[in-house]
Amino acid sequence: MSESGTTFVGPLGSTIHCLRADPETVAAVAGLDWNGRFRRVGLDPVRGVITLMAPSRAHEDLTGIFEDIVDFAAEVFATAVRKLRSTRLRSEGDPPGTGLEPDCAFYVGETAHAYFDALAAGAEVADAFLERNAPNLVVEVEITYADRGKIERYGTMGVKEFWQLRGRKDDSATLRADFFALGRGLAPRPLGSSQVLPELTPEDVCEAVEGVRLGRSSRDRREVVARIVRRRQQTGFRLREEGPGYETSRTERRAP
Amino acid sequence: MNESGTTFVGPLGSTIHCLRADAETVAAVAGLDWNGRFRRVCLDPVRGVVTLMAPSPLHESLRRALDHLVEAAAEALRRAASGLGNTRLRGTGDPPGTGMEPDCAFYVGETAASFVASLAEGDEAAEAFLERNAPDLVVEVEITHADRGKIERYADLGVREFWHLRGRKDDSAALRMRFFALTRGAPPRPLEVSEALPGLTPEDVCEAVGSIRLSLGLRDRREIVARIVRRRQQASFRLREEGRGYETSPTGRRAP
Repeated sequence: MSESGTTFVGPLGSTIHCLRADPETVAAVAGLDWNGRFRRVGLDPVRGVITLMAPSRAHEDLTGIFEDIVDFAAEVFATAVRKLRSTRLRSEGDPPGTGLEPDCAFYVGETAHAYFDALAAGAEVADAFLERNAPNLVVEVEITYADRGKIERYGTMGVKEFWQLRGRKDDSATLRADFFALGRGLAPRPLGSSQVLPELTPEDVCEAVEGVRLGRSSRDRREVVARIVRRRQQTGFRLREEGPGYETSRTERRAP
Repeated sequence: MNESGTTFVGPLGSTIHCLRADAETVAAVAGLDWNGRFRRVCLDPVRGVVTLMAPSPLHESLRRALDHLVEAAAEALRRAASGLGNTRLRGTGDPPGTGMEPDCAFYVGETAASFVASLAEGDEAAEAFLERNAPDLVVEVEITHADRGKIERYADLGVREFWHLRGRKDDSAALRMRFFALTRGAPPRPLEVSEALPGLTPEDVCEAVGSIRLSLGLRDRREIVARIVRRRQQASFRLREEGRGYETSPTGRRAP
């Protein structure tokens, strides 16, 4: 992309258009039917940016895989989960129609239960719930320089955890994931393991990607994720087992 | 408008949003239903700009007055004229959906007669005619810095004459008009008298616009313009008469 250019191709091959616009312009164009032309849209009055994406096959492939990974992992953890897909997320007070569309977003645990209750109460209640409650987890599979400040924006909206995948088109070996804990007004804090899906690590999700991608059936894909999660749970259990022993030992040493 | 701003208010009070975008982005967003949200739209892949306007009541009033004026002046001059409204004009080879929407545009004389003949053949023939033939006359009532290079673009499209009205909100006395002859690849050439509507001057147009805005009916408006055109024709006839005398005189002097 040249300095004056607004069109570029992301690392996964998606075509992205990025327009700079002040908050008034973003609000004015928010009523257009952007999604009739672009699969993924960002209309951010705070960062002053309009992002329009035609996701590549690799991008959509990874998005689907991550939806499966989170869904199946939550099942193994016996935690409720609800996919929000690319629902446009906005902060309270942002103009109607503006917002960011993540690649995947999820309510997990208690929030998922509350959202299911809201859904049962009707579309209006569910919409109101979505307005008031940010997802617990947001995943982006293709972040580019056009997304500068996007993670912080998710933090401001109330998203608790953010997973960022770094990959290159036609090169699954270079896949990397980073997990971040988000908080309003705080810088994203890197996480060694997820807090939303406890103990799952960035390496686990990267490992799961290829298995889920090649899984022929839903059962195959579930089994790939379940195996990784169970292994991680066992490791975690062993670590906890070893942990108290060490604690005990120190206590013993301190004893007279 | 500050340096990073994209929203500003024009001299006639219209709200204008101006987004810088490269040719690929302009082509990509051309399919959106911009006119569902904005009354005047410009999607120019050559200048790399998307301009969205919500015209002020004064802008619309002046535009309507000029629409009436050109039609009435053509009638008084016994020339065919066909108004094109805000038809989006684009160059041959420009992506579908892109183009500029002038405040008013007209076919005058032979082109108007041919356009009406194509209309009689059906919508398809008329649209093909519009694609092939640029208007003879384009009028803009509110030009701002966002329109830099726009006049030259009209020239490249094949427009022959351009009228530019300069006015200020709450100051109808400040109305000024300039005429330009346009040629592809050449800078706009200022005109003292219209070539599309022969004899009509910028001052005539300013005078007529002021009166038309205060007129109550079609007949009034037609009469206002006809009076101005007749006066100009008489003045021009007198000038020709005087000119002929002058011409005769040197010849006479040269005579033995």
